[in-house]
Amino acid sequence: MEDSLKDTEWWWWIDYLENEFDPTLDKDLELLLEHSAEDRDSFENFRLLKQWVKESDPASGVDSDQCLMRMRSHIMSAIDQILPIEKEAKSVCDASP
Amino acid sequence: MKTDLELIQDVKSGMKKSFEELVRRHERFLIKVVVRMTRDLNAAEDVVQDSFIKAYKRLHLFEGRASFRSWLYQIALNTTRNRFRKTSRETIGTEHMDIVVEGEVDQHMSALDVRGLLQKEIDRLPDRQRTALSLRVFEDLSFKEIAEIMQCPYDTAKANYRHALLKLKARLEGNVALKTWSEQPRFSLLELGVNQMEVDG
Repeated sequence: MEDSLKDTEWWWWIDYLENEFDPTLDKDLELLLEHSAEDRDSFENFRLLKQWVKESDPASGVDSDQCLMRMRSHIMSAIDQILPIEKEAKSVCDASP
Repeated sequence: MKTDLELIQDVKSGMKKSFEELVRRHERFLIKVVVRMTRDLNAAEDVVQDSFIKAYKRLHLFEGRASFRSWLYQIALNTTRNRFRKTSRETIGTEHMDIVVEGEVDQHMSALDVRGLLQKEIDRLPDRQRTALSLRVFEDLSFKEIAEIMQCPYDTAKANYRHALLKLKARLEGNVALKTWSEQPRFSLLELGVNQMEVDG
C-alpha cells in the first residue's frame, strides 16, 4: 500500500464507519475529520468504497417474490415426500450399524 | 410470533407446516448468499432447495447452539462446494489469477464497468475476507452474527472485514482512479447507472 499510514490506523476509519470504534475516542476522530483534509479523504474513500461495493451486489434483485414462491413450493413438495422428522431420524439410527 | 427454535420444536414434533415458516424467514437471505457464490440464479435456486431439504432431514441434529440461520448457511456453503467442486473458484484457483484491467481507465466508466471491476476484485479476496465483507455490506449483519456464521471469534470476523476493505481500496487505487472518484463524492454507481441508461436510451 502506497500510503504511509499503518493498517491499524486505517482500521480506525473502518471501525468509525461501522460504528465499531471506541465511543470514548469518537470525539478525537471527529476533531481529525474537522481539521485534517487528509483524514477526511481517508474516511470518505472508505465510505464511498463501501457504498460502491453495496451497489455492485451480484445478488441484487434475485429475491423476487415469484422466485421465492417457486422455491418454497418445490421445497415443501419435496418435504411432503419425506417421512415425519422423528421417523426419519429413527430410520437413520436404525440403519446405522 | 414464534421463534425459530419454537418452530423447529414444532417441526420435530411432526408439524411439517412450521417448516414452511422457517423457509419463508430465511429463503431471501439464503438465495442471495448462494447467488453471490455461484453467480447463477438457476443453480442457486437448486442449491437453496437442496439446502432446505437437507436441513429438514437433519433437523433432529440441530441443537440450537448456533442460530438456525448460521446452521443453514453452513449447509448451503457445503452444498454449493459439493455441487461446484470441479469449477469452484477454490479449485480453479482464481484467487491467484491476474485480472485483466485496462491500463488507462476511462474516467466515465459505465456502471457496468465499475460493478464488474468491483465484483472481480471481490472475487479475488480470500474466502473468509470475501464472506465477512459480503455479510456485512450486503446483508447488514452485525459482527457478532458474522462471527457466528463464520464460526470464528468476533475480532477475527472484524479483522477479516477490515482486511477485505483495505485490500479492495489498495487494488482499486492501483487500477482505477479512486482518488479521482472521491473528488466527486456524490458520483455514485447509481448515478452512473442512470447516466448509462440515458446514453443507451
